[in-house]
Amino acid sequence: MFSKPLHPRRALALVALLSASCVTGDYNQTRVFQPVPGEAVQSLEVGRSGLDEALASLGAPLQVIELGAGAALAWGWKEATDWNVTGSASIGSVRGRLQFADAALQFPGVVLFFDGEWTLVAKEEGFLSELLLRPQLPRFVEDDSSPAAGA
Amino acid sequence: MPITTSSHLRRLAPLLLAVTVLPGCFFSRSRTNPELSPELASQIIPAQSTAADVTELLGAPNEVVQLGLRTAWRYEHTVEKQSAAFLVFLGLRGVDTQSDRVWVFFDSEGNVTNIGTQFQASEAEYDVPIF
Repeated sequence: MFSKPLHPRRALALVALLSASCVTGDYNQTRVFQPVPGEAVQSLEVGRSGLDEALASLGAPLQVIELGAGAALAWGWKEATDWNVTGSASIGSVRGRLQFADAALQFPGVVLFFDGEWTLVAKEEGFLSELLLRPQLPRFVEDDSSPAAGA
Repeated sequence: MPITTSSHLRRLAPLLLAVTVLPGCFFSRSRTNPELSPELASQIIPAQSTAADVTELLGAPNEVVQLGLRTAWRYEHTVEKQSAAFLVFLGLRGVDTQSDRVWVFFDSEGNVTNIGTQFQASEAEYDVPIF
């Protein structure tokens, strides 16, 4: 409740500001896949559990990655809400625009590491971008001793 | 009496006001790859089925991962449901993506050793967020 009426000059300034500017907002809710049960992850034992047990407990993984002689299997999901607010104003020939976004880009998940015999050797929980380090494939290195063309 | 532009505008004013103020909304559904059948996936049996059997049942995989001399094939069907409401200066949007996914693991001879499945594509929902 207003305690005193808005001064006409201030009201005019407020109307002028609102008519010259525009603020829009987006509220987004994102769900991508579903979390795996925490108890199922806990029940897997490093050094004892195998691929069979992991697939039966957690279902099909999101990703399978070759890692040395073994492999890494990743399960991931995302449940997030975020805001995106954009404000723009135009006063005379000057235009301004300001944007704020708090989108959650991280993808939480679980990664299980297996050896060549499909025995669980490690399990980690966290953000997939931090847990998954793609193996670097060997690259062909050109021999510098060969004479350069056109030299 | 001739109809003037100002009287036209006066008649259209309520309609323009309604279009501007009343909320808008949309729903969309998108699917990626053909649906996967749990019945067909259940016919893939480790130590019995071969790569040829899997191809006959599920077709070409979406991804093949080389694991030394072994391989793993991924089949995936994804459903994304999106809904949104627009309230003049505020947009509320909900996106739900769920999938059916099957991973089949083979030994170096092309025999199935393991299979992992999940069927959640039908659980995708239209959901506009509310504070």
